[in-house]
Order: sequence, then structure tokens, then C-alpha cells
Amino acid sequence: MWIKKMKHKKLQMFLIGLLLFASALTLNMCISFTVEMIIFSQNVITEENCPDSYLITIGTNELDKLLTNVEYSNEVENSRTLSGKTITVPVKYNEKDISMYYDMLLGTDNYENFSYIQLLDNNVSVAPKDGEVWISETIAVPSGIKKGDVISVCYDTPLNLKVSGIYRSTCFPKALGYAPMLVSNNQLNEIDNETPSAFFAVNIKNYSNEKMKSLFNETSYFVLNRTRDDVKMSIIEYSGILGTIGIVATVLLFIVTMIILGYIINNNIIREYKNIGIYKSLGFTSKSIILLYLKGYLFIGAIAITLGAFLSLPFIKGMGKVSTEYIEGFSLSIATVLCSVCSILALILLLWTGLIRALLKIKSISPVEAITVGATSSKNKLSKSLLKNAKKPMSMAINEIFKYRFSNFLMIITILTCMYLAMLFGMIWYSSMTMLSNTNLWFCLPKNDVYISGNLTEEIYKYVGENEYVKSIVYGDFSYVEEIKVVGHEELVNYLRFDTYNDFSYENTGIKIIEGREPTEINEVLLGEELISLLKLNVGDTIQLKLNNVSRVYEICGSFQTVADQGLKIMMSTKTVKDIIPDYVPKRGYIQLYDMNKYELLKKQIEDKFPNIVVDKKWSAMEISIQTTQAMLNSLSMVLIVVLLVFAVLNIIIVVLMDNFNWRKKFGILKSLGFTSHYIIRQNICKYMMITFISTIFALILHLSISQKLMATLLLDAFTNSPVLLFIICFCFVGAIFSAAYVCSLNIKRISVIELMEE
Amino acid sequence: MNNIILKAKDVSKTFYDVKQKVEVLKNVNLNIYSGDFTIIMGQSGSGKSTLLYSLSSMDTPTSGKVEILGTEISTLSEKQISNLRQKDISFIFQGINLIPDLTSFENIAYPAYMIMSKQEANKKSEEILNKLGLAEQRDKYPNEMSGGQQQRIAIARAIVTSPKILFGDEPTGALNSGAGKQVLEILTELNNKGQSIVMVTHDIKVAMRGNRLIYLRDGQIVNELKLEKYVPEQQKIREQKVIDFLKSNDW
Repeated sequence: MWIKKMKHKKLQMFLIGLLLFASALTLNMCISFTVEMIIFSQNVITEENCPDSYLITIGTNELDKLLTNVEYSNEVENSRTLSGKTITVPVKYNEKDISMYYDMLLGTDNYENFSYIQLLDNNVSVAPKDGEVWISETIAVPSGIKKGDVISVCYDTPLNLKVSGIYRSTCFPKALGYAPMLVSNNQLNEIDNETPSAFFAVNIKNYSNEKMKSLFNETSYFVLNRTRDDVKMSIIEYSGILGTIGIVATVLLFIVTMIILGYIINNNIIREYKNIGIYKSLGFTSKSIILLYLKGYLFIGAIAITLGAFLSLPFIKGMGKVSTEYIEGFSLSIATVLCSVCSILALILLLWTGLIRALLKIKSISPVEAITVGATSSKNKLSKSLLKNAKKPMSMAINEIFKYRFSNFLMIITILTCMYLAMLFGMIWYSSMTMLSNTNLWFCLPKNDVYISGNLTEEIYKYVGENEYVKSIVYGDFSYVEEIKVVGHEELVNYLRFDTYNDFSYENTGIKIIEGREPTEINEVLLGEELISLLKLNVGDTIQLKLNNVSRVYEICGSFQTVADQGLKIMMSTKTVKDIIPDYVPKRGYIQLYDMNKYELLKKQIEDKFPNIVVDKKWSAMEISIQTTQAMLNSLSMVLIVVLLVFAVLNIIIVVLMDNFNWRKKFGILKSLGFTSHYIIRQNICKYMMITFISTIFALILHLSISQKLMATLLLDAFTNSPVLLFIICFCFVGAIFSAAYVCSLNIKRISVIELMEE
Repeated sequence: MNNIILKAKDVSKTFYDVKQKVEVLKNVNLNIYSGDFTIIMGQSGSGKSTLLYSLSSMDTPTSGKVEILGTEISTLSEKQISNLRQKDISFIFQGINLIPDLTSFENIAYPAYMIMSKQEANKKSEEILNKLGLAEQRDKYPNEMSGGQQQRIAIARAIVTSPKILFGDEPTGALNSGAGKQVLEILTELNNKGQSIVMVTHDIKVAMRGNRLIYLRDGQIVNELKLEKYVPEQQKIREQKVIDFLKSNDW
């Protein structure tokens, strides 16, 4: 009998199934993706392809200290060192600056000493020869560099190196932003105008992350210090956070689905009130009647949830591939199957609980009351009409919304939830897409329309600054301090990165100083928020920095924050650097134009006058390094936005069809009184459009008031709102809902007055 | 002779079932005159309700023509039929069929808003409510009233637009005798004032109120009885005439 009942409500069951399918698909997708990424990072980063820890030092002093430490440590099992040189000048390929944050040349005559890379292309060489270089595919592929191409390290006399090998390394995933270039030891020794550095890999006995961190705490001055766990974390950092947000969003969606299901069941019970009374009068128990309804919904729900969970697998695989670009081996494991099964069981259990709760109403129906009341339970007290003497479809729609507040409130909540989440994910997508234009927010790099690199002498930056097309130029660099000491506390930190600029004004750089002010004196510096916290300092305190072997005390005049780069860096003015290194020449310039259309003209002017200067719209390496993060954020955001839109439309379809059925008699009466189908449809559409409009307003208010705070932990100020995109999202939702409501309302044309007579 | 306000010519209605074809109406020819209280009677399944639906534009005949006030309704568009229902005809259902989420007053006034100003519609609705002794039910919803009260509201709704013809499908069918009598009194009074009424019934007490009885059998008009306007004092004589008429038609 329950199958027959299901057949009578085919369309309703199909739509409910679709809702549950969408919920299960997105929930399982988010859960399994997060879990698979964690498992993948555990499996792919192993002892074989990644040391327990690797460090990059600057200067030979620190390396000596380190090696001494290691020698006397009982914990160290083995270690190996590769000498290198930092690169502080741009590296060019095809007129693009492909240099990254941590650029380094490492020397090796046998790469098997450096076993954390795998050469692609069946390369049988053991090391690059003099004049050659091996580069990471994370740089080669996006830049279009192939074997045989030449890259140029832009010293005064450019160092041209032929790419003879491209390697892949799980030890240096793209997310870390570190991809050393390998040259021969001879080649390395020929470079004498860069600070020596070293790559140091160490394995300890009985590895643990905490032990690893503590081993080098006291004497660690490292540009980069990563344990194997850190490397694993870098792979899953963004995916993990986004996956979690996705899970929360889809749990909300599922809750909304359950609310709608409750509404549908309530409606069905009201419609079948009399029938239920008849069943009871014939001897059916409440339990058996409840089971009659339960079986149908549970059957459809179980199928839909199962299908949804398993059809999410291709999405999980796709997103995993995108998120693990350049790291081979991502595939779905038994964990996905287990997650899927758990998701399915959990959702079915929740569905069962929700259904039982909604169907318990049947217990309270007495046969006499049900049969006496009639076909429907119509004892609800309606409130007075809000608009008196209403005649127009809009006025009637408003009155109807007001009279049936509860059910319309549910609909508002549903659409509001979907729209709000779509706005949130839409802005995540937008923030990701505009990462390159908002480097000031993401990476604390000055915002720019044009990026130039090379030896930016005074002549060059004055020329550019005075150019008619240029609004502003901020020039500077990034490099490394050798030592950071907190005066009086002897605290040391193992992170030496600093950025230097000639200008820190918000107008020209877009860099937000969250506390204090920009440096004006040569003994003032800005510290990243995380660094301040790590060193337990405040703005106004002093800190001792050693730069170019000169130790000076500086006052912390302010602090800043960044999304990437973890805020563990310092910023100082070029004046400060010049005070220590008189012949300091900045290498990077960030230009804002009055009119972007003048870019080509400016580029030509600069390149004609200064051929060694690279002029580009954006810093190419930055573009490359953010691609994976962008791809992952974009793919997950887009999937969720589409699901949310479909969800909202499905809900409207269900409600409109249900309402059309419930109000069939009323529509027939209206027709008999001389109201046209067109009038009735207009009234219907007005009602749903009013509800959508109210939902849109509230969704916008919610988004504008809390989304920024909500996303602050993930994206800080880099979470940007785009009014245009918000408008597009609202338009899409409103348009889709209108279309669905209109199409579903067309059925009203077929309602015949005759049906009234036959009731 | 009064004017012809409704003309049915060779009206047939056939329903198609999976297994068979059912001819409910067969070439019915009928004229309805202005001011008449026309009663359509017949056994169950004789086609009387089907005839009423076809005459009132609520249903379309399979063949034949129906002219209301000189206009053939089968050629009308949905909008034109709606206009007809708004201005010229009204219908009273057996199942009452008030709009459940409008108060009594709103149920009456709402259709009137379509053809007159709000002030006029409101005024007329108030007058009709008072006239029918329903002023106290003004702000009540249908589910707060008895069946008789609801049907009187339905009548009020039907007459607020001053229709040329009032159709009724067993309007007292769902009411107890007291409520039914009240409804009949209202309808009789309306007819005495000139309202043309066409009604289907199988109740002799209702049939007595009409001045023209039409008997339907197997989808065809087989007989007709003309009476004078209803006068309460002649009830018994009238009742006998109707009974005799019905008996002669194998009622």
C-alpha cells in the first residue's frame, strides 16, 4: 500500500529525492575531500621523499652553528647539506620575472645526494653541467619553460642558464612557494655577489613534530624551517579550511531540507486528514499509519542520499587533482568509501528522525474529528488582512503572505539560507579570482598595475616616478635579516624575511597597518602581527636586528597582517636599509597608473630606455604560485554556488506545486467568479517574488554584516565584496526562482471550474 | 412574453471513458426568459448538472450553441468568459465554495472590485450583508460560520454584481431544512424583484419555488411545467401540481 501511496505522489517524491540528493552530494563531497586530502598528504609525504625536517640558512655562520648542534645531538640520525646562494635579483624567462619569494641556487654534482627530487623526462643525468640548471615543474609548466630553454639571472652581467632538467618534488609542494634551482658546484662558486646559504636536511630518531621543532629552537636562524608535518600541512591548509566551511554550509542545507520535508509532510497530513480519520475508524493504529507514510519517504530518501553520496566521487577526485597539482598520486581511497557510507547512514538516520517527528502529528488525529472537519483540517485561525479592500494581485499576495506567516516564513528562511551561502561562496570565489590585483591584502605587497624588476637605480625610479602615465611608484625588495633578538629577553626567532619599501602609505601601497603607524625614522620597523605575538611584543617595544653583519636596535612603530606568508616578517623603509648598506639598490618596483590603457606605452618607454628592466602587468611568479590555491578555491566555491541555486529553485518548485494543489479549489472559485488564469498566476508570482525579495534583502544584510567577520580567520581583509557579483548572484537567484514559479504556475490554466462541482 | 436571455440550441455533451462513450446530453434545445425562476429536474444521471454547467459557461458542450445575452459563448476567449462571469452571470454552488482565507465581507466585495469602484463595492456589500441579516458575520472566516450562514454569504457574493442570470447547483443540498428554507426565501425574494434564476434541484420543496419546471431524462428535455410566481398562500396547490408533474414523468 505504501508503494501505491508513493505512486500517487510521484512528482513530490521526485522533488524531495532531488533535494536530499543535492544535500548528500555536497556534504559527502566536502567531507570526503577533506579526509582524502589529509590521507593523501600523509601517504605522499614520506621518509623516502621528504626529510624529517629541512632548513634553509642564510650565511655560513649559522650553518656552522647548526652543524655543531647536530654533531652533539643524540637525536639526529643523519643529515646532509647542499651549499647554495640566495638570489635577490629577478630571474627572467621570455621577458617575464619568474623569481619567487625564496629563490635559491643549490649546487650539486650528483643529485642522488639530494634525493628529494625526481627528474622528469627520463633524464639520465646525475647533475646539471656548468651553464645548465634544473628547475621545478611548478615553475616550468606555468611559465611554459621546456628543456633547452634559457633562463636569465639578472645580475649586472646576466647569468644565462640552459634548462637541462625539470624535476618534480613532493618535498617542495607548490603551496610552500619554495622551488630551488639546481646548478653544478662550479657554477655556484662562480656567483660571488650573493649571500651564501645552505639547504640542510636532517632525520632524527623516532620522529615527531614536537621533537623536531624543539631540536633547533635555540640556535635557529632560518629562512625556511619545515618539518615533514609542516609540508603535509601546506598541502591541505586551504583545502582543509574550505572543506570545513563547505561541510558547515551543507549541514545547514540539510537542516533546511528537513524543515521543508516537515512542511511537506504536514501539508500531506492536513490534506489527508479525513482519510487518516477513516483509517483509524477502520481499526488501523497510529503506528501502522505512520509506517505507511514513513516507508515511502524513507525509501526515496535512502535512494537519493545513496546516489548523491556516490555521485560526489567524481567531484572529489576532480577537486583533489586540482588541489594537488604537481604532486602525483591523488586518488580516491577506501577512506572515501567509508566516509560515503558513514555520510549515507548518518543522513538516513537524521532523515528517519525528522520524518518520525513530523509524522507524530498523526497520533493526535481522532477519527470523529477528522471525518467531521472534512477533507482538510481547517481550524486554523487566520489573522485579518493587512491591506484592506485589496484588489490587485500584489495586494492580495501581501495579504496571503501575512495570513500564512509560518509557512511563508519557512520559505523565506530556505531561500535566505541558500542566497546567503551563495553570496559567501561567491565572494570567496571573487576574492580568489582577484588575488593578483589584491596582493596588498593577500601578501602585503604593494598593490600595482605594473610590476618592474631589475637593478632599480635612482635614475630609473626617478624616471618612472616622473612619467606622465604613472600615478605612483613604490620600490623595494625583500631579503633576510640574519638575526632577530628581543632586547632584554634573548628571544630568537627562526624566520628572517624582511620587505623593504620606500613608501608605506595606504594610498600608494594598499598595505594596512593595523596598529601604530608607518616608519618615518631610520630606526623604525613594522612587524607582522604573528611575529609580534610570537615574540610577545607590543607596538612601541624595541627589537635588535642584525643585517649585513650590523646589529642595530629598532623601535616597532607598527604592525600589519597578511593572509599568506603567515605574518612572520618585518617591513622596513629603504632608508633604513641604505643606512646599513649604502650601495643598496632596490630590485622591484610596483607602479600604479592613471589609466591602464597606457600600460603598453609605458612598457615601451621604460624598456627602450632601460633594456635590463623587466616590465610586466603582474609579478609572474606570484601569478604562478597562487594558481593552485585559486583553482581549488574556485572549484569548490563554484560547485557549492550551483548546488545552492539548484536547491533554492527546487524548494520553490516544491512549494509552488504544493500550493497549486492545495489551493486548487480556491483557484477554481476565483475562475467561477470571473477572475482570469492570468490574474491568478500574477497573484501567485507576486507572492513568491515578494518572498524572494524579502529573502534577498535579509541575505544581503546578513552577508554585509557578518561574512567579513566570518571569513576573517581565513582571508583577513583579503575577503573582498564585489557589488557587481552580489548583484549577479541576486539576479540569478531571483531570475531562477521567478522562472520556476512562473512555469509551475502555468498549471493553473488547466484548473477547471467543473472540479468544484465534483468535490 | 419576457426576453430570451439564454438560448441553447442542439446542445450535446459526450464524455469519453476508456471503454465507452457516454452521451450525457443529446441535442437539448432550451430558451431561458428574463425574470423566470427556471428549475431543472430529473433523476440521478439524467444530465441536469451537466446541462447547468453548459448553460452557465462553466463547461463547454461537445456540440451545439449556447447564447447568453445574445453572445455565443463557445467563441469567447478566456478573458471574455471572465468578463461574462464578472458582470452578467453568477453561480451558487452546492458545496458553497467561499474563499477560505477571506472574511465574509471580503468574499462578497472581492468580485465586485473587478467591475465597480471600491467605495461602491464596499457600500453594496454592506447593504447586502445587512439585508440578509449577516452583519454580525462580517469579519468572520468561512470556517467560523455554519453551513447556512456560509451559503447566504455565497448568495450575497453572487448578487452583489447584479448579474443578469443567477445559476444554482442544488444550493440547499448541503444544508439542513431550516437553513435551506432561509436560502429559498432569499432566492424567491430575488426572483420576485426580477432576478432571473436557473437552478438544478431534486428537492420538491425547492422546485415549488420555480415558475418553470423543466424535466430531463436521459439527456433530453422531455417535459415542461409553467406555473405562476410563487405565493406562500398557494403552497399546497403548487406542491400538488409539481408532484403530479413529476409523477407523470416517472419520477
